[in-house]
Amino acid sequence: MNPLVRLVSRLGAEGISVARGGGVFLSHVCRISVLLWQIITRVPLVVKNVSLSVEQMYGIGIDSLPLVSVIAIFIGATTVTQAVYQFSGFIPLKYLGLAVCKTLITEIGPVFTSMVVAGRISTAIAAEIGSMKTGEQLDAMTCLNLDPVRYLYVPKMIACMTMIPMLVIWSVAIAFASSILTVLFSVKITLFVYITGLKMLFNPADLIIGVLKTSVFGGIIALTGCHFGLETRGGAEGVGNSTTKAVMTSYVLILIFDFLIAFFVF
Amino acid sequence: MLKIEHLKKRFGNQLVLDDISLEIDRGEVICIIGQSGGGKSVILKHIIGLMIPDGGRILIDGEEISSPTKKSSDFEKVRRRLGMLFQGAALFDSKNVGENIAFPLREHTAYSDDKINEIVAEALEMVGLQPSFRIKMPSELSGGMRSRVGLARALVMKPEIMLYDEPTSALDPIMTDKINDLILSLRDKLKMTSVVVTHDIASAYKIADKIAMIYEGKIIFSGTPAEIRASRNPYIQQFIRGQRKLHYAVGSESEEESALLRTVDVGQIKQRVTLDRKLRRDKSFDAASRDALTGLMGYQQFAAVMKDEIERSIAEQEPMALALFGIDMLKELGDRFGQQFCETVVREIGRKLGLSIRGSDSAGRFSSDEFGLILVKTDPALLDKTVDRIRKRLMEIVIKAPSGEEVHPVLSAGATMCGETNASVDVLGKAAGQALGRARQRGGNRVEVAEVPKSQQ
Repeated sequence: MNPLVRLVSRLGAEGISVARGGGVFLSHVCRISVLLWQIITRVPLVVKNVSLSVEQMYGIGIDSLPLVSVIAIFIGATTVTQAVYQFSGFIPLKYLGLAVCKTLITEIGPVFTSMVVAGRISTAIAAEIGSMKTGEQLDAMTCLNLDPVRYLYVPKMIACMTMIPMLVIWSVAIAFASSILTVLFSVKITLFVYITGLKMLFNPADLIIGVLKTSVFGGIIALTGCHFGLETRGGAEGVGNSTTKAVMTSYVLILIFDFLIAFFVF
Repeated sequence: MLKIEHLKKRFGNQLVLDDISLEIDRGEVICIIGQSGGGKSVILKHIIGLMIPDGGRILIDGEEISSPTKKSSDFEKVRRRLGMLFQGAALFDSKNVGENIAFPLREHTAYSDDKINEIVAEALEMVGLQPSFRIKMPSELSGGMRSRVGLARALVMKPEIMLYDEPTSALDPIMTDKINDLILSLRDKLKMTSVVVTHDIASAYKIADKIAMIYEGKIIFSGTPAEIRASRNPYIQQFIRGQRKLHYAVGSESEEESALLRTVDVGQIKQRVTLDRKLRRDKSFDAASRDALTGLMGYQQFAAVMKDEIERSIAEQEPMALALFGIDMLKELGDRFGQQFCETVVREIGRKLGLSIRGSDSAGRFSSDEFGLILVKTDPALLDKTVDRIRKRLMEIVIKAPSGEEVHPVLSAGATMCGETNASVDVLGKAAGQALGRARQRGGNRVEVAEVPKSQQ
């Protein structure tokens, strides 16, 4: 075959493949948007089934506490250690607290905690909904006139959007405590200097926005879990694929929305 | 009650349902049979609104519930009249048995907890489960128990029409029989209309008043179990016999083809004997031996089936009975309204009989004004009640005379059990005939049961 013809044919095939990928992406965006709209319209009905949301809050919030606590201890310690290393020889250590405070409350605390929780929760949601779909439990709910959006997705969305900010507050508190201990035992500055640094340019708005944005991340985690759970086809393998897609998509979306919030708000 | 008209559904390029039409009467059990992946469950999903058809429509009591223009959300009201048992029961894994059953009640009714607990206990009892099951999780239950809990969950909302999607697949034969009995008892106790999708032909024979067979998206057969057994469609024969290959030799006169049939997938001697028997039955059941008026078996065919059933009853030690139904005062009706009216009466009663019997039973025209019915696995103690129930069902017919007058035909019946002392077609037929004669002598409109002669040993 003529090399030029081969090149054109290869480019054409790649073009079709890219266009098909774009179509799949757009169809996911459309279905996620429809699902989000369905969830939003059912939110007012949550008062009739508060217990379902409370149950989900317990599962998502309280059950995540041990994991979040352990992660937060190391976030605090690592931030201090890395900051000391980066400062050495250039920046006085009296600014250590300032750097750690800004980093923990604006970025590392909220984003890291959200991503860790996303790994746990979005997979769990996708697996639960996927199994219910393949086991015809969602159809059974519909046949009993029980709307799956209202009884399944809305409680998960409410729980994620309320409990992840709580977990982030907890996580940041533990990380601060951990950073203080790290400073006490391994950095050659006094606790007074470190805490003065922490308070130096502390802006409550940073903390509030840092925590509130995780509510958006919570929504992303619940939405991707529900969407990919609903997309499940086949049996156990299908559920496995859905959980992988859910966690990957939630990571990417968390980072994209984190950038957008940083760009437009800060 | 439930009517499906020209239903069509396409998934991508695949036409799954192609012009499906069915009519189901109130209190009737219809089995939709066919190969897996043939679109049987898709029909159920259209009835309950989980899918919207591409063409055609579905009506309940004349009201259109599904058509291409209806939305899924329009079904909320209709679904209150429908219940569905899914394949594998589709119980909610995160809830225990009691919560599963109570879930729809808690959301759709204002009942107190005590009342809900009472209804849950009743539902569990109805499906034959102990109240202690309510705290078990679905993962702790066997397949049959899950099906029964799924059924209880559907029943608490008191549906008029129950849809069963492969209720007995993956169950052992004993549990299959229990679920089948449950479906029949619900029909009898609650007068529930049932649509059962299955590929288990034995279950269909047992429970169905009517069987519809789906093949390549079309209904290729709809009729009573007796009629499907007598069908000469090679695909139907292949399906109901459970054979891999189509055999076109059924009912054929060709020796070559008959020889071919004998070699088709039949290894065991017992199976060969059964096949020979069925072949003989099928051969004799051609158009000439079918009763032209009623569509039932003619006497010759009926006698051949009776002979087979007597042999089977003796060999397997299972009770079998013969009942004869006679139309009282048929001669007087003829004198009054004419011979043509008499034929109408016989035809309608014959048709009704064909629709009224269980899948395992066989009906035929015994003489000009008598119908025979072979009842297998019949409880001897309840024979008179069973026959009387069928007799009364036949008497529900109302026929309009040429003069405009409404005529209610009256029937008498004679029945007898088959025992070792009367195990022949002639003796059994004579005994049932004498019992029918006694019923008529005593004024008609009654059932008489002939005693089985005692063994001299």
